[in-house]
Amino acid sequence: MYKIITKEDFATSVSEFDINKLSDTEVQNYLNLSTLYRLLLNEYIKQLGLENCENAIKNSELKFIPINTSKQDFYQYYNNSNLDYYYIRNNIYINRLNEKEKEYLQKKLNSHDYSLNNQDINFISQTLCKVIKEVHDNTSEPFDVNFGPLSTNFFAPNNALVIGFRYDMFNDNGMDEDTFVDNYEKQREFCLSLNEQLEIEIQNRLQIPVKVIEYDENSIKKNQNYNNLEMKGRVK
Amino acid sequence: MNFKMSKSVNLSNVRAYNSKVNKIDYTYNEETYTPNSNSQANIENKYLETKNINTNENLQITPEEAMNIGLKQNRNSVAGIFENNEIASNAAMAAGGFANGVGNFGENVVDAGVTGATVLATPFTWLYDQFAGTNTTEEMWSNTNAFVAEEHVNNAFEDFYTNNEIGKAMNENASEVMQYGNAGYNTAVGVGYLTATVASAGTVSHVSSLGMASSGAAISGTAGFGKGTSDALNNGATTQEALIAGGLTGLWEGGQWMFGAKIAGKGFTTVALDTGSGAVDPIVRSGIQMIYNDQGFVETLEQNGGVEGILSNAAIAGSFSALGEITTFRKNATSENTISPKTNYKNASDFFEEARGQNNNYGIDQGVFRKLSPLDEAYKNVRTYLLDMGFSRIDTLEIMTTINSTGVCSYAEFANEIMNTYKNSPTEFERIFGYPMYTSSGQLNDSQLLMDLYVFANNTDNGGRLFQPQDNTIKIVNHDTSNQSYYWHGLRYEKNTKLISSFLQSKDPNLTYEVEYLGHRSENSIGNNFDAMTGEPVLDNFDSVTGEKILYDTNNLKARVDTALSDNQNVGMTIWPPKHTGHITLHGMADGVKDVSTSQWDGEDGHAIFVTGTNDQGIIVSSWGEQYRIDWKDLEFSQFSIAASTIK
Repeated sequence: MYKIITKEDFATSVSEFDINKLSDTEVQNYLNLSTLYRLLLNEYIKQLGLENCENAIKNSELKFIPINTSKQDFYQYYNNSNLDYYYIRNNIYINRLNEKEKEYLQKKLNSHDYSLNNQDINFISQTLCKVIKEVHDNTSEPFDVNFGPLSTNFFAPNNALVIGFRYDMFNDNGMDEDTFVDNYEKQREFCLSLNEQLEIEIQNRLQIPVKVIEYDENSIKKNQNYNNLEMKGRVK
Repeated sequence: MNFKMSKSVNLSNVRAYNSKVNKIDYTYNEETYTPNSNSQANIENKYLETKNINTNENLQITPEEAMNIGLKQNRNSVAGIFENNEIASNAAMAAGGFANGVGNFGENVVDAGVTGATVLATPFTWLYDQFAGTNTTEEMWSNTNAFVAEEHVNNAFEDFYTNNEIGKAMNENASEVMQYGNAGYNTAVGVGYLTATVASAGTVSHVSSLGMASSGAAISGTAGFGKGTSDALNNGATTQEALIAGGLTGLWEGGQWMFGAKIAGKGFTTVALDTGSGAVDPIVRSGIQMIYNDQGFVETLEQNGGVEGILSNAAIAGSFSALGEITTFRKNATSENTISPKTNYKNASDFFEEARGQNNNYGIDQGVFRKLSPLDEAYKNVRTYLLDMGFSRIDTLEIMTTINSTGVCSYAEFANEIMNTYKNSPTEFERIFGYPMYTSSGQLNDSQLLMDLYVFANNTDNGGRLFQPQDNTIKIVNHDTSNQSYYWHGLRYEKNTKLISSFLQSKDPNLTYEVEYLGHRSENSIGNNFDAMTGEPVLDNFDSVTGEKILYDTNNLKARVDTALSDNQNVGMTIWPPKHTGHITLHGMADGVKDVSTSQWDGEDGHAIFVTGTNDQGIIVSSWGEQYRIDWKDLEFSQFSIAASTIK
């Protein structure tokens, strides 16, 4: 079952398209399409290396504890990716799709089959650049955008694929202080190395900038509205 | 680049997709995109062919396994070329074998979890030690927890020439003097090869741009292969000899890019060495040319400039001092710095430019802690500092991780003011603040100052809300960093100006902080409705009669800022995102530094930056450890506050 982004959350994340000018029916369909695109994008990036990294973390024996759903970042919550640590942090601007592309997405939505196939891979790869790009009229490109607080820790180029990374850093899970500290410092080393490699790996595959940004409770965009409408579908 | 993991992860146990994805061309064309037809055309082409790999659909093979199988096949065919070919082997030993060894060593040891940057420096210092009779490598590793890694250096070289099919063939078929560990091998190629590699360090400064280093190496290496092959064929080489020469040239060209850029990307001091002199290049080229010119190494080298001239060349001498600089990164922190800082800076701009040469930062980077590894000296210094204050180990980790989660720009700006104040008197800095202004490796100790400011401001004894002293300890009592205090010299926020004075006087009761305002433009809609210079209510942004926007006069502003800077005052600035006013663009001034626009910013929070100069176009600032320019025209219709301050 997939969580569909709400109208209120959508408005806070995508300001260039005014969803309020749509009728109620159109609004819901638009939100469904937006959710579907994000889902397909997630599945695609999972194949490129995200799932490998996720498994590496789980198999690392360094006790990375996932963030509870109730504390998830707005973007993480709506990713529907079945990943515990990584998520796509970009805003998704499906308003930039042309008519044929919208038709394709609509057809996919109507099929109720949301598993990623070869056609979907082509569709995502052809539209990805324009759908995730942050734009500004008067700034020369590329420029840096803050995907979080105003610090280079959260900067990424405006045309980058931005991957959020988060785990429950300070949950000691019953460890004594010495064990926790030792484990934590190893986690930091591991994450620095792992996320560097992930950036390189996906960047080499996609040929666009890729940035992995690590978040904590203070730097995320908090989820304001837990979804109460789910998109029915099946995964083959 | 191999997708390599820490040794604690056994990727071969990880199930991976058997298929791979095409390198995607993202040229988007509205006219031609047709989902159905494109997908039909691409179905057969969607996966990369993996030759000689068992692609049984029921067999899951990881990317690493596929890579290893391919590499093994390549090695066997190349090794055969060196059999009974002394010239080729000598050339390979001189020019290519060491590059392979450095590359393999670097990747293998990084797998062991040691600091990549130190690893990359180690082969250089190891060779330096052979000539200078020093223990530089040992000293360099003495502060790490992975001293055992030093063994990997010797093991990697020995392993390559003993066990690797290519290395073994090279070594066994070379002349005795050119065999691994002997004089010819060491003197002819090793030092010059590696110092030129170090000297080719680029200006890559962001982690993610290591990807660009990989691409640069591939491009450079490919170009080198083509050129080397072509040169060889034009000089009568056989096809095989030409291919070897081309491959080795590609390694030489690509290796310079890869290792140089990686070193710069890890924050190493950029070793200033003129690669254009070509002093060391003939050594490598000579080795490669020997493959097909039927001459000895020395004869070939003479034709390329001669040994004596090269060995006495200033570049070589410079390279030894450059190697020495690299080794200082791992020296123990003591009160006696081995590198004496300058104390004759004329102004903030000079000082920040020098600092950039040391650690790649133009001023303080507020996000520094997220970029530090627990093995870095700066990390250890600050961790010790917090523990000595009385924080628990867990609280120490949390503070170092979350310090910038809400943004500590005002701390960074104030830290820049302090550093600028004492730029010519580091001894005085240490006396006042209790820790050195420079680390043992000669870099500004700004991360410790930043942390010092952070703890002071957020201590409940000083009006903060995050940390509370208890007996002889201090602990985190509020984990929400949005409750942090701010250092800001805004006139309206008197408590923040007071905080600045309190901090300084906690270090030395005689210190004072004076501030005067140079300019302030705000908009009424958020309540900033007075002029900081005159105290009078500021005009509306739009003329209430004509409806036209009212612009701020920046001509006089430039003059005021220039005067303050020439008087050696600290000039700080705050900028806000626009509501009804115009946006501000910070134009990146260094290579690879992109523009940032306030139009992308949420909310009403301002950003504090440190001014280092002006020019006709705009005002030059330090922000996030980088140099930016804000155009005067942007300030005409936007929100900002700018002030000059003095610490004395």
